[in-house]
Amino acid sequence: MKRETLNESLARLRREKPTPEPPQESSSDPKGGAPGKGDNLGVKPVDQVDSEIDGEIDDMAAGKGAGKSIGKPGDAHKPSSLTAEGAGPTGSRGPIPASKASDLPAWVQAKLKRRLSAEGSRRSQSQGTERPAESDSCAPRPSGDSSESMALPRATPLAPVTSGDPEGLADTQTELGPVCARTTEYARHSVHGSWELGEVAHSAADVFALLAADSSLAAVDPLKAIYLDIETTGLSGGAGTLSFMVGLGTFAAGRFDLWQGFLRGPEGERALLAMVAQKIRGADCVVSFFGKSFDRHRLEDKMRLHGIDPPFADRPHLDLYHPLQRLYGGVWRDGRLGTMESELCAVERVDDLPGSYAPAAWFDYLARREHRLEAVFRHNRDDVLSLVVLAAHLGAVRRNERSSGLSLGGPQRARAAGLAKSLAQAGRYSEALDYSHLALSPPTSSPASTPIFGQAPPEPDTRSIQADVAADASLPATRYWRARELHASLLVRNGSWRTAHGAWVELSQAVSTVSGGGVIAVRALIEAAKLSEHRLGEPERGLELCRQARQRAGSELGMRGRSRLLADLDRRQARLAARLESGHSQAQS
Amino acid sequence: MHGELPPRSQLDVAGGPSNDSSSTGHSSTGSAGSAASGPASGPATALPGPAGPSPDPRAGGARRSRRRRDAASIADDLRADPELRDRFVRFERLPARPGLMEAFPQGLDPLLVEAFKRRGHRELYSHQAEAIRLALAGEDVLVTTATASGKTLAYTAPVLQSLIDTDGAARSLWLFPTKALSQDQSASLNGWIEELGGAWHSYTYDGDTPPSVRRTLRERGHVILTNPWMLHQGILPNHAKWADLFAGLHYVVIDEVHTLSGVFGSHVANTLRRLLRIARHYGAEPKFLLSSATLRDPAAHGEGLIGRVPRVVDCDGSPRGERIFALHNPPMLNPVAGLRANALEEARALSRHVCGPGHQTIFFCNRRTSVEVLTRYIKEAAPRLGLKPDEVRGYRGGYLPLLRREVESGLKSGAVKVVVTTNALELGIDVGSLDVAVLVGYPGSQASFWQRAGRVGRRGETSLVVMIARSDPVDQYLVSHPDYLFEAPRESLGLDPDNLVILSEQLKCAAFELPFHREAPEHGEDQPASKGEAEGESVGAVRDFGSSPHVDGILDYLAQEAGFLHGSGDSWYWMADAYPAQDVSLAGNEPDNVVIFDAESGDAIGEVDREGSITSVHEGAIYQVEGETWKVERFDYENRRATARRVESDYFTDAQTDVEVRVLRLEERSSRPRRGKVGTTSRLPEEEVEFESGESGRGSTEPPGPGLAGDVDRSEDYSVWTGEVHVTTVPTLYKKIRFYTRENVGAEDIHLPAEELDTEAFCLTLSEESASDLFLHSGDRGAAWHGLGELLRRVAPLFLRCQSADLGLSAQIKSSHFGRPTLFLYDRVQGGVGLSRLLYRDHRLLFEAARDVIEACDCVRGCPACLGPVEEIGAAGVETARALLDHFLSGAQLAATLCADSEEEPQ
Repeated sequence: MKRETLNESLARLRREKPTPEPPQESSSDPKGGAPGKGDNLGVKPVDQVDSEIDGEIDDMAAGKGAGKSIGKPGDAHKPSSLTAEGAGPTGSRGPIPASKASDLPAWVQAKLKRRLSAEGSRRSQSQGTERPAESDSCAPRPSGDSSESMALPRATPLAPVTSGDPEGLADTQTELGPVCARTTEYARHSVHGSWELGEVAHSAADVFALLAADSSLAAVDPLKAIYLDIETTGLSGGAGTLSFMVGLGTFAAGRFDLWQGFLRGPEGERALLAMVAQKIRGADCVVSFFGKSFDRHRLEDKMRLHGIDPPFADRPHLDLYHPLQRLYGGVWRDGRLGTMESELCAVERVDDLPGSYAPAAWFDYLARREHRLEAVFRHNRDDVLSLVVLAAHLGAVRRNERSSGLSLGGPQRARAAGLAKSLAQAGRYSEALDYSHLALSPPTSSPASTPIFGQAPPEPDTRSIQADVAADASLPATRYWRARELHASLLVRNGSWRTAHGAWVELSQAVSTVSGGGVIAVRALIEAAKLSEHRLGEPERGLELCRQARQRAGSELGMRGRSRLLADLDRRQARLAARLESGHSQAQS
Repeated sequence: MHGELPPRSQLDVAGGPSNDSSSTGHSSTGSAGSAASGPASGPATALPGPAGPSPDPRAGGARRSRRRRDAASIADDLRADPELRDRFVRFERLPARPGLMEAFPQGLDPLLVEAFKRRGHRELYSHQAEAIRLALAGEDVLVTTATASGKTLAYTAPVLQSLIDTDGAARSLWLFPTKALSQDQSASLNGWIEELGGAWHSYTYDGDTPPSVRRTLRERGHVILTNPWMLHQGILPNHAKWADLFAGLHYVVIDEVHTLSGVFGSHVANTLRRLLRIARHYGAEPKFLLSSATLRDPAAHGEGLIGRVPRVVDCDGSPRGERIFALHNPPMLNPVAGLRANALEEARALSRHVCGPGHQTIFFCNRRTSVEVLTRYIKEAAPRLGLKPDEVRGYRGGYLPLLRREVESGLKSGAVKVVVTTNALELGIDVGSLDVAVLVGYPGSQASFWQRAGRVGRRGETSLVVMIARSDPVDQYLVSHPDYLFEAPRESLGLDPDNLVILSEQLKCAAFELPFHREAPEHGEDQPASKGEAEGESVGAVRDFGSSPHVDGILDYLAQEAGFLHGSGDSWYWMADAYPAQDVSLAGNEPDNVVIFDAESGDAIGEVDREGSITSVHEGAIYQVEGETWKVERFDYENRRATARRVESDYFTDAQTDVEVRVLRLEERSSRPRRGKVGTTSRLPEEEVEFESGESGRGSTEPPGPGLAGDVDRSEDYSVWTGEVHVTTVPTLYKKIRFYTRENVGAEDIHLPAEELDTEAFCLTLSEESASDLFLHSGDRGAAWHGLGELLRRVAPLFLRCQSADLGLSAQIKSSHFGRPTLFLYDRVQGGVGLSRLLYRDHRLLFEAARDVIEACDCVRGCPACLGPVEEIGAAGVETARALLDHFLSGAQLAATLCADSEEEPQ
């Protein structure tokens, strides 16, 4: 690695031009604004071919708007311009330095400059309406040309700046050049939030497999996993985005080792990635948060670019985002890592620098300006440690208590509903019914009364939902109604026809007062009708329920697939009526 | 049409089809082309006389029946119509021509040859065989033959051969200029693959490709069919995801490369530089297989695009059905005003012969509004033509895709009998073969003319192409010089991949994809090869990105001033949180089209580009879709949306603008000195004229430049220049023009902001002295000067491939910059794409064409078909312009003069 060269050139840059600033290039941080991401990229003339950005969008879209990257703190009120210390006013830029750029005739430079500023002003013009008002007094808008203003968030009030190399970096020579990293050792019983790192050892891996719907996770040992989180120069993906920091955590004898690979410059990317690949290959499993959609692809793409075999394809990968979403989705304001860690593991970050500020920190470092890399190291460290404790939490959900006997915490009913759904999808209906019942019971049940995997379930018919247990903070409304649907259908699956029938009818009545509940009511009535007709031998009741469903569906105008449903109902109704008719005539004869 | 010229015969207009008076034989341009179309058997013997297929003239009697109708009989009808027949200045019959066949080249796998034979190809056309041979020999190939001559096969075969040879390891990337084309091709390619039984896959990759399929096609797509936009924004920036494709990239196929000119072509050329850089990074050196309509200098165009000179295959060996070209000049209604009947009205008159239930007819208009007007006319007349109104459809850009697909399939199935379109149907979207094409006005380029003509007669039957000349200088030039159409192409394509604006934007994209190095990195040190093939030795060297001397400088600029890159030693790395391809539009304009919404339903009904918006969707404008009229109620300029309400309007609107041009910098100059009075100078023999030579002129004459206005070079006669200008366009008012009568029924102001443009211009300056000698300083001088500029602008498309609308004009009788009469013809795209340079080079051709148009015009004192109507050019306009052109063309040619760099800043 040519560290001297880099330093020299940085020094040169510094001499010549104290504060080069990237102009605002993209209106909104794509990863930050995931819900709007498609819009950001996709608004194109109808007939013009789409500017869809390959791959990444798909991945992000699959994340459905709530990765760790999504809605990071600071995004909502991201300073749209740099802070006072970030860069001098554009006026102080001075003349074009008499360096290599002077190879460019002055008129060419003038032309480029005109072009760039025209671009900038157009862009800021078009964004003017969307830009949130300044909410942060410490981020004054520079008075200069808007095209030169910084798009990247650069500072929070709390994160201190440093200059030069971050501390504690050590170089390892490899055949591809030096790899620079900071290594931190933690004792296994070190505490992160309210959890010890080592608690992850007690995880039941089959719950990972169940909740992630990935059987390859069934046998993983969390102590042999590698915990991965990266910091990149941008969220857009593509060949130009670098992972300048790769945090990897592994358990060793009695320890947890955090290795934070760091790029001193873009030249070192290849050596770093080669070492990252090697380290990942040494582990049984990768644990990440939203990493299947983001971190993995960033690394994999760049590894392919550099001719390094990506280590992900044959390795189980536990992406905590999806299982946690399954359990707790809709409970809190979002599904970010920060939310999960604080709600579930009581992790409190001090002076956290949001991930969206990371690119600017590294660009500042490269340009030998003051930077906040220290805060990025800390942020990355906290991310990796949170992966461990969140994995430990996930590994304990089926026991509903920690290895220490402490309560697991978190919203129990939502968790039970999530487990019920996963079990149902795995075809384990009996266990699913237990959790379903729990999800609809008062949240006071002691751990002892919770069902345990593998235990013979109590007699199904003795369990029925308690109508007074409604949606609450522990199981928000949308999930509550879905949980009741699931519950009723699980009763059917378990052969409790009569109870199931009652549950469907009750559901259809309860949900009818809820706005938007009509669709569920129709479904419930149809299910009840089916039971009446086929299982309970009550065709008259079935016909009546069918009529109710038809009536209800008729008034639900915006319903998806309405016309087909109506046709179905009409057929069913006719069939039932005919059957009753012939039944009567038979009875008469 | 170099290379595809069959012997042709010219039919006397008045005479019948039996009059074979003048068989002109081959034009002798381009020996290769001539040789090609002269198969061994000899064309003359192979061709029936024009009377040969002469149909029963009474076939017209069955016109209204639904029976199929032969185009030749329609031509006879036209010739027989007492009202119309005198309006045809020429019937040109290009006789049927047999194919020139060759055996399959040696290198083709028997399996592939078998597949060809099963499809009825017992042999190949000569151009296909040659192209395949060259491709298999590892050459870059450019096939430039007529529409429907089987170019697709010429590149399909080498690609399939490479798949067979490598057992599927060779990949290829096919680029089509439109989405529809790639969909078409994909289906046919999959047919081939299936037939060969290979476990290969071809996929279309465009905006409609579902995400679930994308991963599969990245990993397993042996042939990826896509378009330049997806390549630019989707594939290249994510090249690591496509590593397999790039590592195995064998061929890059690009269809219809003649469409890749101007800003778009220049961007695409840079995109291909990026493609090659990435392929090299993964160890591949793909070859290019290009196809094109015929071009003036195909090799040069190919080189401009791909950076290497391709082998050109231009000998068309395909057979051809008989084609009849009819050149129609609308009658002169008023010789004093020089008014000819409106071409659209003539098209309407012709429709009673050329439209009918027994065949399919396509009308090509040059303007979207004309499409709407003509569609409406024909729909109204449909019952009289034996058609249902639904069988008459409009089709143009700006229609929503669903509507377009509907018309396309209607054409294919035969349900649509008449379609009125723009260039939207010019390229090879498969709509089946039609019978009659009517070109309402010359489409602006020879390539387009032949593409449009190629829409008919694909089945080898007789086809008919009618071109109606407008009252437009180019059209009238063609009426008096019809051979222009049938001769070798004479237009140059404007292409400037090193345009600084385009280059700098593309360098941003390129740097995002792979770093740049001042020199190729030393193998082994910085980039040690880990996996052998993954490392090319010269990847990322600055010199691999075209030949512009400014690449280093732009990269430094992007690093130091703009902050996009990180310069480290002799390398530049992308270093910004951005995705540059997203902000770089290949069309050069900002992606901020204006969408037009229905005020009632809120549905989008169409869209227009930014430049067009101030003149087409201003408040009060009548916006037309498929013959329906919508009145724009509100134009939200900031948010790029307009709201329109459907109205029954009996008029359409035509907006006017004011243009201001400011010179920023002058680059090249040619001039000649005055010699005594102009009247004599122009008659001086050349040897008596002193040249102001480029080299020696510097010391002796004052350098021209911005200071010129003050100290006029008294010895100068006139100069032409290229330079950079800043143009401000302000919409002023719009006129309401009644349909049918074209009567002006009112005008209103437009209140919208100006559009600003930084671009390149061609300037013509005339010294005050010469101007006064030519009486440019008396009377209606400004009007005549403007008329001359307008005429030059309008004949320019004869020599450059552009629409005259691509050029802007500003005529100033006393330019504030030059202090003398000046004409500016500027490129109407940001930064320009080299049109001004081509004008500069060919200015003499322009002057000649302009003079020919004026000379040949039958009008008395100017008309829209030459200099402009007398109300616009003044009573003495024609004499003044003729004197000016005579003056420019007589005497010495201009000599290059050094032009001082003007460092002037815009403000």
